Amino acid sequence: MAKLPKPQELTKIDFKPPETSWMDVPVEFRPGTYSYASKPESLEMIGFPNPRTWSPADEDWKLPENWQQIILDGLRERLQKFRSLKVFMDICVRCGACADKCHFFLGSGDPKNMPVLRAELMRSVYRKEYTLAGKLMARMVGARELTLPVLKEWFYYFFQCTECRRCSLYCPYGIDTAEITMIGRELLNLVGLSIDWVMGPVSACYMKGNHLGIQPHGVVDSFDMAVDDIEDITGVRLDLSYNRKGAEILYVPPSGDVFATPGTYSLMGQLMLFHEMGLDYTLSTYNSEGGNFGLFTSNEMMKRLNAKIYAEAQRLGVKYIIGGECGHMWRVLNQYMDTMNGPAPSNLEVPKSPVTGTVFENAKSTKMIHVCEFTADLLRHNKVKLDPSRNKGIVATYHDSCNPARAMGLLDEPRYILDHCVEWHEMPEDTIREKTFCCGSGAGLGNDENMEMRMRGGFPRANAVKFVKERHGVNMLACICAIDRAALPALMRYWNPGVEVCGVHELLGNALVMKGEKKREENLRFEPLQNLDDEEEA
Amino acid sequence: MSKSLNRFMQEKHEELLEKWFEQAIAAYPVEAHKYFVKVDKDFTNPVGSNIYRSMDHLLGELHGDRDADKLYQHLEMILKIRAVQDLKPSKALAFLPSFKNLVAKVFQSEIKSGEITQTELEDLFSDVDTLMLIAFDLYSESKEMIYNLRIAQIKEMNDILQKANLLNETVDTSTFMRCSNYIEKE
Repeated sequence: MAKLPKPQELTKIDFKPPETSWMDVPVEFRPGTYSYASKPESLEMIGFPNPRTWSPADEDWKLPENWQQIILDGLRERLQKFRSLKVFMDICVRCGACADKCHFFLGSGDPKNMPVLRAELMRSVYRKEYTLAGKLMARMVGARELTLPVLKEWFYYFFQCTECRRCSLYCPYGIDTAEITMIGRELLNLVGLSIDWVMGPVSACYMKGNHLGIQPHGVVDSFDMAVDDIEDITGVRLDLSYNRKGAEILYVPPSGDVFATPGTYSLMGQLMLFHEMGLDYTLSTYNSEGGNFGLFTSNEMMKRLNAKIYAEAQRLGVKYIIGGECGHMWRVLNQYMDTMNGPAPSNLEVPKSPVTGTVFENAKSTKMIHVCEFTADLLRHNKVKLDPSRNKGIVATYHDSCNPARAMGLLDEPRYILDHCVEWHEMPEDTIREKTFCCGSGAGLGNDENMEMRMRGGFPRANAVKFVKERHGVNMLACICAIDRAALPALMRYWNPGVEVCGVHELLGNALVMKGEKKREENLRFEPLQNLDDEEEA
Repeated sequence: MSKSLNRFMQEKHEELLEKWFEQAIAAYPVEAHKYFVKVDKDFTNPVGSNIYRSMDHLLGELHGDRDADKLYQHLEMILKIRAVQDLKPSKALAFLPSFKNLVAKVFQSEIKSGEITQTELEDLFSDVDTLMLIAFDLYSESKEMIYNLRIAQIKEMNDILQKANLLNETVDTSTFMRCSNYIEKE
């Protein structure tokens, strides 16, 4: 007869004592904590290997017979190709500075979510294969063979990293742990291991130009809907142009803002501003996506998906490009585009605001600026008429979206825009600017099946929002990333009910005074404006 | 409600809290301990600091007014956290029944000498049992919320695809809805 454990014993068994090495703790694929596998048709569409139907929860992952060789050869090739990877593999002294910086570790306590240990998953194999000490002494020096359980561990944890790079910020050696995850995923892709939420958008984007796979006429429909809504709210009809050759500017939004709320409201704000400034810009129905899930797949795929931006800018003969409020898009644009697909086509010039004359020297090489840079410059020169009272009732805080903050240093421009539009409050110091906490759903992890993991990983962010909610009555979380706008509403519903999510330009759009507009009664969400009560009282 | 047990608990609030908290975080892997015990780091140790703070308040209520609303409120955060972590429900909730054992141990001599009466103890233990039931509700509600969020996301995606006329007649629900399922075959 088995004896019932005491409650205090329950808290201990299984968990506290694992005297076993981390190498001997196998992963468990429990529903809610992993993403579904990529579909064969997605891989076929982009010519990726080993397309088949499989599930991470299955015992048999239907791998090619020589999968070990494929991965080890792939690792060797990348070690030769990327000096950074070689350095990252060798240089870590396991000081632990990164250990408690990952939101997944902070939310779970799972030691393999410590960035150092996540990287060790790969380093241990590297040591065994490519270092003398590892070959001779194996476990003594933290080396191990690439076995099937190790591979499953790679899959579980490399798809449990949002590549947000908060850990990199604290590494005294500057190891970019996100790049280790990227290489990890790249190697996994060599044997057909990826997730549907990444490969679906990748293949759709490759064929149709955006993550949802919406065709050009569908893209136009969506913009038309935004134009109709703007007219209903403001009385001003915008005249958008698509694929127009000879326009001065090509505007590239993340498709999430074109197709899904609350991103659409932010897009509306941007379109309204462009109209008001009389900008000579065009939209592309082929290059209808600034986001790039190739970043979460492989270097080559990222390059293939990014190529369309310069190609379309060249075809249309524009002078420069403005990119929308997107997160990871800006890591690609700011850090990789230039070397991957540059130099920029010769028709492109250093971006110069037609309204203020400001030359954006920072984009001298890429010829592409962030819409927040553009808008902040307009505000700095008093070119925009705003009525912030239209945002009455909204008390905002600002979430620094990981990639714009850490990969391009876009910290003050969005804040400057908020200063002009709305009452807002900063979250605590350790959770903002470069130290910002991830939404917990980036890098392709924002799917529904992974919801439990997302709530866990997003907890540090939500916890900081909770603080300003309780202290200042914050009810709106502003951000500049389409993945944030897709992921944070669920996070807020779980941790901070009553806090909505918006893009910075939605608040600007609410406040924007347009020439010829009718008396505004609703905000961009068709909700009644609260400042009207004041007017009535007056 | 007895005053003497409450007084004893008030006097040993810190000791009870430290021991109780230690029991609660024993549920996490040993490597996480040294980070989760930094309870003054409200924002860089959200799990440890929130659980600690909630337990502090819970304990205060248990040797105070035992206000139902406040007890509920302080339990909520702990259970929300635990519902999204790799803990079985039994382990997620074990910190509550283990509190009874803790009290019995800490006040062993007072109970033996009769300074704390059996009635007082039974009264406290009965309230802890009620808290356990409330915690079970909260844990389940949190899990239900996760499922509702999943459904909401699936529906939103469905609406987008429907609007874009990208839904096929036959819906493959084997892996739920992902846009790639419904891309029109060219």
